[in-house]
Amino acid sequence: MNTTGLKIDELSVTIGGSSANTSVLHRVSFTVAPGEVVGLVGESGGGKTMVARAITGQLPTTAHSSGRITIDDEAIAGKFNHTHSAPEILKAALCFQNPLTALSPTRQIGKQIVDRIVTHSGVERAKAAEQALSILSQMGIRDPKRRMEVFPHELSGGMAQRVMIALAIACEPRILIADEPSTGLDVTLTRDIMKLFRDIADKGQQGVLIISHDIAAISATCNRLMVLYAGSLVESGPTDYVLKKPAHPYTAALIDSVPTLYHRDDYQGPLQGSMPQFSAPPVACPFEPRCSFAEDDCRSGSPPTRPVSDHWTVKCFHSESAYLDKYDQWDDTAVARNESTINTNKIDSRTKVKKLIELQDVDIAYRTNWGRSSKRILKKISVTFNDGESVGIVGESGCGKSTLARAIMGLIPPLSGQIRFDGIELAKQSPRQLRLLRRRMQLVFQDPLDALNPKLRVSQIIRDPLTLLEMTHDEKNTSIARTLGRVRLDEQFSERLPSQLSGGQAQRVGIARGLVIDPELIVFDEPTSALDVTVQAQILGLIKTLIADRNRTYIFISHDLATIKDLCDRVVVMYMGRIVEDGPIELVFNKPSHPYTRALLGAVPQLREETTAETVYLKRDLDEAATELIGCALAPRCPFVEDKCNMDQALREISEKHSVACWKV
Amino acid sequence: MKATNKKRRLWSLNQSGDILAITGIIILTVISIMAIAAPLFSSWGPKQIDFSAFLSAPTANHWFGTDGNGMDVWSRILYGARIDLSIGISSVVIAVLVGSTIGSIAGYFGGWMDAIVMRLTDIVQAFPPFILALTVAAMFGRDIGQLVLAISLVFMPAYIRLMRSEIRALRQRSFIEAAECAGNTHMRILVRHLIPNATRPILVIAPLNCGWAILTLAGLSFLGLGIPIPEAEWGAMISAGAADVIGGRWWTSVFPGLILFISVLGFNLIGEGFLERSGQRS
Repeated sequence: MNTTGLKIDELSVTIGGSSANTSVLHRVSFTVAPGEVVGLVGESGGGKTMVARAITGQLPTTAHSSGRITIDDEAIAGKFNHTHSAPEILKAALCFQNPLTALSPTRQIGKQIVDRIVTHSGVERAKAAEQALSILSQMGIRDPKRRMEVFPHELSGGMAQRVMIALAIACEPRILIADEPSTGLDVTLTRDIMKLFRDIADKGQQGVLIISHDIAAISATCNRLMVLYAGSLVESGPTDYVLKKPAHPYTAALIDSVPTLYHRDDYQGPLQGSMPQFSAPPVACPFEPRCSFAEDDCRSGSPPTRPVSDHWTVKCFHSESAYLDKYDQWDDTAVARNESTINTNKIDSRTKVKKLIELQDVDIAYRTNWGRSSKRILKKISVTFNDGESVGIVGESGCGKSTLARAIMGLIPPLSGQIRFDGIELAKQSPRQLRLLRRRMQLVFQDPLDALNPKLRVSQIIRDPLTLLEMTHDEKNTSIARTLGRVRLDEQFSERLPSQLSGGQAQRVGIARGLVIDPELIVFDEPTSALDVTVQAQILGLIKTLIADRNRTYIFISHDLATIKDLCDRVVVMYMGRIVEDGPIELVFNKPSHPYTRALLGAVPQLREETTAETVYLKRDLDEAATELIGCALAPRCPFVEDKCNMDQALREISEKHSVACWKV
Repeated sequence: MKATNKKRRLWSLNQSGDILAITGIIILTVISIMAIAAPLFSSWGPKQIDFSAFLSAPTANHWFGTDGNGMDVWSRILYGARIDLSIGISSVVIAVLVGSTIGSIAGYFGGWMDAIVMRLTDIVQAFPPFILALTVAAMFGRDIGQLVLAISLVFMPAYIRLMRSEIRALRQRSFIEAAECAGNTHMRILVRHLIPNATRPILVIAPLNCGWAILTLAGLSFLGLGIPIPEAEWGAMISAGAADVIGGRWWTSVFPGLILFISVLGFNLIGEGFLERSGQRS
């Protein structure tokens, strides 16, 4: 059997009917050899998913494509249609983006895998079941026999992703394609899943193509990286080279946009603008409008794909230009700088300490099943936020961070315990008094477009909180205009509807709405997690300038440790509804004490390896049962677990201002 | 991709949805104008009896013939449109206003209020709509106002439910939380943030219901519980002429039936057009 792997030659895809075409891929060529893991990165809208669909023959009905796709020297089809015959599908298997929706909800997962094996290799069901069992255990699923019997909704996100991969490799494809496999997974799980892909490539001699927007998450796993921008493959090369010395300006910008735990000297500031859409293959360089190195030839002609060195190509006229040089000195300066930031001690820069928000033994539960049962989201949370502080709250999805934010805003009343804002207990206020308190605190939401009323114009949206203040119409208008300026939105946006805004612009409007009444507290609830990397960097830059204003308290919620490190003085780590560690940034990041914090820090993907702390590896997926544990919620996953962990773990101070919920520390 | 989608959507919207709606609007406008300016289109009064022509076939003098009482069918159709259209539209307007108010309050506040409202609508919806209208009309009487009330009661539960479910879905969106953070009162959240975003399905259903309301009214009159003769009303005219059709005098029933059909068609076209538009938008 020939084993040259996947080869794509000049693949172009256009979507649309006769009147409105969208050219999504322009002459993309690449290969994935057996045993190789290749990452395809880029921002959303760049055409990444279309590449996967073209390989598996699942392009939309209105798509026209040209080019040649071969797997092991066998053409998949000259012209692509939906009607691939079974053997062709066999060669490439796709792991879909959202495993929980891609699995059939009404069929046990074991049966789904067996179905797949039987269809593709025609073995008996009993034999297929054995194979399924071995694949599942190979995927690192504990107790695979029991898991065969469960339905997809009973699986956690990480588990579902493993099942999805199991399904994909069940028919032994030559090429495994994973479309955004880390979506919805927290950092520790992402690392495990990535390892799985590495194993598959190493053991089975299969080629793996990982499609992701998260360059940091996949970089450790991939042999090679390919960068897709607006339908063109702008760079392709060995991971180390591409990360250390990106040859294309877009790759450089993409890498720079990723927040890291370590300070960088050379940060050029966020990339402005957004990705273009083409109705026909572009004649010029697609990145030219956003590129700071663009010259006349970039506007007049499309740059050729040319080699930088062996196996490394770039689609740019000017890849030798000045910007490359900065990467040469990178490694030394970064480390030096890193040392110095640790020494500049900002822990006790303020003397006045006024408690702005105090939470005492707060329990919050959502009622489910028509009020008959309830799910506890927050458990005995006690935490204080001081005036003028900027505090990061981090934890994986579902740990209760957003609920905590809403409790602080008085949107969700606590089941028990007290929440005080400036000494005023929120639960005891009348709706009217609570409304008056609202002019002192504001919330910025996660999904910017969902947080804007689709029927109101930008100026009306920003005006909304101003009803809390006694102002004349003109005063309101001036403060709206001023706030728009502060979030760096042009005046022309004030008459737009939310549907006419991009994600980044919408989030600026959301921030403007929080800012316009000049509150004492702003809570950011994952303000960038719904945005693309380069836009994320723009918004984070904006938030950073806001936080520089020390007259206000900021709470910044994120699942991303690197972002928090950059923005906050103090960090609160949450796990399953409890606070497990709370302390100044420098202490927590340099001397993490709780095993969970250590695991979290160790799992943060680093573009350039410089992690020093000893990493803690948690045991695999979290068990849902842990939510009801009396003792430490991490106990089932913690490598240091002992009997004593099953007793209540209260947060206790281990040094000044640093507390941890683990008896062993 | 987004920009081109929008373009294509606008284009096809002009092709299908808008054409349907515009046709419907034209039909109803023509009928309404003829109803309002009825004296200009007919020299006969709606209750005026031509003693020289009982059950006369269509002639130059009586375009659509006369009925058993010697009254001109054409002018009765014109004047009848005033009653039928106004009862049809006003009963739906009342159902929409009252129903969506109740529905949005129930959906927004939830709890016991919601439970009570929902059980009441369950009870009302347990009856076949026409039987319910029949019963209420029989109880209340045959006054125009009471008929409007009876018909609107039949349609109200649908609007209550529709608005309630829309509001409940919208409440989950974060812009409502944002509105709460911005210090809006419950009233203002409902009126400014929720209701404007929840009206689309109602706009689709209301025109369709206008057509049904006119049919319901005609049905009630046909059974003798609606507008009584000699008042000009389409259902009553069909009913009165039914006996003559057997004897070959088809014009007394067929013409009012035809106009009933055309106006219901007009409302349905508007509803379909709106439906198509909202389908393409979402």
